[in-house]
Amino acid sequence: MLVKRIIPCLDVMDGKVVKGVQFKNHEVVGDVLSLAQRYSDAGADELVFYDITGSTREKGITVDWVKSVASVINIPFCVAGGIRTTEQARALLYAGADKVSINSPALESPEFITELSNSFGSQAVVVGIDSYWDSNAQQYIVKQYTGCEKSMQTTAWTTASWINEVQRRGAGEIVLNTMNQDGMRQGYDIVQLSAMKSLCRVPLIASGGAGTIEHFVEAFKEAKVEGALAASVFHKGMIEMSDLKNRLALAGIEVRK
Amino acid sequence: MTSLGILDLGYGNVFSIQCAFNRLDCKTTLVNTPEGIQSVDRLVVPGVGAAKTALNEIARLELTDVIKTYSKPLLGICLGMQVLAEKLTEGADSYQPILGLGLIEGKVEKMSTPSGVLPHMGWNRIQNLQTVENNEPSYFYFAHSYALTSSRDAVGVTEYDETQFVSLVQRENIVGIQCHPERSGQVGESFLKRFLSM
Repeated sequence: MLVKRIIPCLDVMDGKVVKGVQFKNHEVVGDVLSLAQRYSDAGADELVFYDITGSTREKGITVDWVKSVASVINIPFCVAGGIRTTEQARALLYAGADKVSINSPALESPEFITELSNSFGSQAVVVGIDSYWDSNAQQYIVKQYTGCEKSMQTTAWTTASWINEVQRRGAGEIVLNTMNQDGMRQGYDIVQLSAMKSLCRVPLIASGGAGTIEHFVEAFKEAKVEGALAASVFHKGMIEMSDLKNRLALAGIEVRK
Repeated sequence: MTSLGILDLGYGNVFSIQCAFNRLDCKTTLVNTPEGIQSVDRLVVPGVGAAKTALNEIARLELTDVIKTYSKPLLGICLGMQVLAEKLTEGADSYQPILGLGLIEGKVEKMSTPSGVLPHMGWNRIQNLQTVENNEPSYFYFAHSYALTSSRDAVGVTEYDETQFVSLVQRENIVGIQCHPERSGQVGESFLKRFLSM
């Protein structure tokens, strides 16, 4: 049976792992390679490296840096942030990344998803979606360029319609980041995740809001997502991977230990 | 010291596989010529991408015969396992499957599961495979939408979403594994070590 995945996300800015609250006020939490190694040893199922300078500053990701991660760790990892061309994606996948994740560039040009999927297979293409509950419109909408407050924009896509579109175009996995929860540690947005899960024919990964072990249990048991991504609770040592996996197993959720 | 060759078709996860063997203190050589393949003591056929592209590239580089007649240990990983099969439906027209290298019996088809969620992505078990002595479940990392449905050469099977597929095959010197041992933690390392001692 396929187990549920725990995915620490390392937000990388200028070669350091950082964490902000609701996408703002970034603080340095550690070094990329040592954190990657630490999580891999601790039993993380996968890692995501998200270059948060990428989309907003037109800066690509260093292939060398991805190569050094690939040579050290023996679990899968995904690279995200600022990937705008098939050639950039190719370079990262050749450097040892198992998947690339795109967000704003997919919104600029949905055709880019198709291109990547045709070139590398859908299993290598993750689409990240920053979803926001618009209380005026009473619906979930997709935001773009969320790495920087000034550049952040609301798109014309509702989250549901964008989820359908990215799957039609060949995305192999969706990371749904529920922005109202991000960095708040109040729990994943179970209502939204459950609603969006019903639209997904590819794996869905929950992102945004993890604060306690119980939040992971809810995401798997109630929203039935395939994986749960979190950052600060791991970086700050608030949750130990082994405690988390033990607790999930006790709750009847199959995990890799 | 025996030499390990990794088939380099200019795509995919060649570097990850090199790194995995390097971590086991095994040096690797990239090969993409008939002479190169014949010169190595072990051959790994990696793969990420599309089966048809990989098979076309193998044919274009005139490697089909040398791989088919390779008599030393050969390991196909993921798509590299799939191309070893007799028939594949990926990239084929609806009536006629494309022909694989035919080193392993069976047909590779798109997986079909009750939930319809594909790719099969993440950590799953391979049953009937003794990777560790204490019988703890051994999880490997998978990322694929096509699989060998059945095979006379099956050694291990995996269950996903109430559906079973062949995840490990062996026929004499030929071994194929559907997951990514190079990305499967210590369990994957043990598997690669065993291939090196074959």
